[in-house]
Amino acid sequence: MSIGFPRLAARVLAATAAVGVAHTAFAEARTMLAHSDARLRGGRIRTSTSNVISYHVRPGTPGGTALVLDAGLLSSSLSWLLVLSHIPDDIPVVLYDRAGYRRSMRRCPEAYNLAESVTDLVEVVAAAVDGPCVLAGHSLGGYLCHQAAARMPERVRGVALVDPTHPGQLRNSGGQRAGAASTNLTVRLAPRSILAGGGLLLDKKGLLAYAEGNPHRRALSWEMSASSTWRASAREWKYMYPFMLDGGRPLDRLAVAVSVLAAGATESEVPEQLELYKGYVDSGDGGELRTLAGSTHLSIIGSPEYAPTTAAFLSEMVRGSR
Amino acid sequence: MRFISVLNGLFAAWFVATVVSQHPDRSFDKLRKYDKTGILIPNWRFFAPEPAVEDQHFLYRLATEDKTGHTEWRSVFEASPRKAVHAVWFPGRRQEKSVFDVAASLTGNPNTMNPLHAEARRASFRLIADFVRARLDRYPGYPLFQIMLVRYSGYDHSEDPKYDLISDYEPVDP
Repeated sequence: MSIGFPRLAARVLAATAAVGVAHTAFAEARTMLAHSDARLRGGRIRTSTSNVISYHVRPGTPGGTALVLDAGLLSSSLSWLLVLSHIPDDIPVVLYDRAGYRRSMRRCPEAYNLAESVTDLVEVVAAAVDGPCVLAGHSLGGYLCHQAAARMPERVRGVALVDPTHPGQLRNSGGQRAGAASTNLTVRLAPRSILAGGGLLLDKKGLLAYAEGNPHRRALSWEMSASSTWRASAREWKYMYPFMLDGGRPLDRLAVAVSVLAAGATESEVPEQLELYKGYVDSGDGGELRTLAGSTHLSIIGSPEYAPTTAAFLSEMVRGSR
Repeated sequence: MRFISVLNGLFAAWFVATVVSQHPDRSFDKLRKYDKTGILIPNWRFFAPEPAVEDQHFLYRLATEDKTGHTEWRSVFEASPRKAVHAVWFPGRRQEKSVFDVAASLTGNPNTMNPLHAEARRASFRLIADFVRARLDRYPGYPLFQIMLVRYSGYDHSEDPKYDLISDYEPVDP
């Protein structure tokens, strides 16, 4: 006996949803696995915000200046692994995941705010770094590093920002503002869509085109299908978006060098952003602004073509800070 | 009977592919990528999730060779005031629609574009630069021009225009 169209369509729809939900659950479990780099030693702390933050340390020369890496929005420590593989072994490196990403759990009872993430970062440095350090951040992670540096001047020897978010960028650029409106739509809808199995429908081939040849591309792809990644980024974006529309707040003055590595696409597509990057450099003492020609906001750390140059920029900051 | 079952299965699969391809955010359009014709999976999104409520205007200004002297910003093209006849005959609407579509591709977030989107953006800019170049009023001593994209409600004059983009200098006669 054949099944009628309505019943058959309902069954196919239910089966599709079930496959989608299973895909999301697998992606969630996959992002909980340890990083593939065997030299990384894991650690975990409960910070004063009540968040449980996981971090990874690659030991280098004992007592040497450590490099602490913070990822951007919708990214975790995974996004830095390619750059990490190009950083000389003698430099101690600390990677960590902000609350909500991968194994880091958000337990803070208050509404999310940037100070929460900054406090977590400061306490990760206190737990994972023995001596001085250079803070390096990509995108949103860059702004957080700059704020964290102001909170621990005795530990931080330099700040390296890789195509960072600037709190004034939506006030400064109409193009960025229009782009942020489209990001807002994605981030607003994605967490529920992913939870309902929508990860299967994400065009990850296009979204991760910048990471062609990156050995961690598959893991990055799973991370995009994980509901927790989207929930964490939605929480941060929900705070960041109106904050940036409002113009943010003035940058802290730092007594150390603040250097910026801008993506080539930022220079060509949003030239007004470079003025803000100069503001970052001017907020410190003796830093510089460089551009990595040909790179984009994401390929600057995720593409095998540009990661070595980014790693060299960061290594130079660490060596120059001694 | 077997033929009917196969047909039902095909239609059910098509129906589900159509339903799951209506997500308001086009990042979830993976299935549409497999539809090389672009017509097999219908698009029922229409104006979702946010309908357009503003006109897009391209303005231009001419500049001297050393980029120190500029003319005032001038309009390239304006949306026509609507008339009753436009309900049945409005060929000019295609031009307005193309301006709107080009503006949309120019204002995508450059930080999150994949290479295909970035190329589409560059192509859109070349298109609009040629569109402006063909319509601008040339002036001796002003060999360059810039383009500005402005959003404006069109009817509600209490609302300020929003300036979305100012281009680099382009040669009037390349």
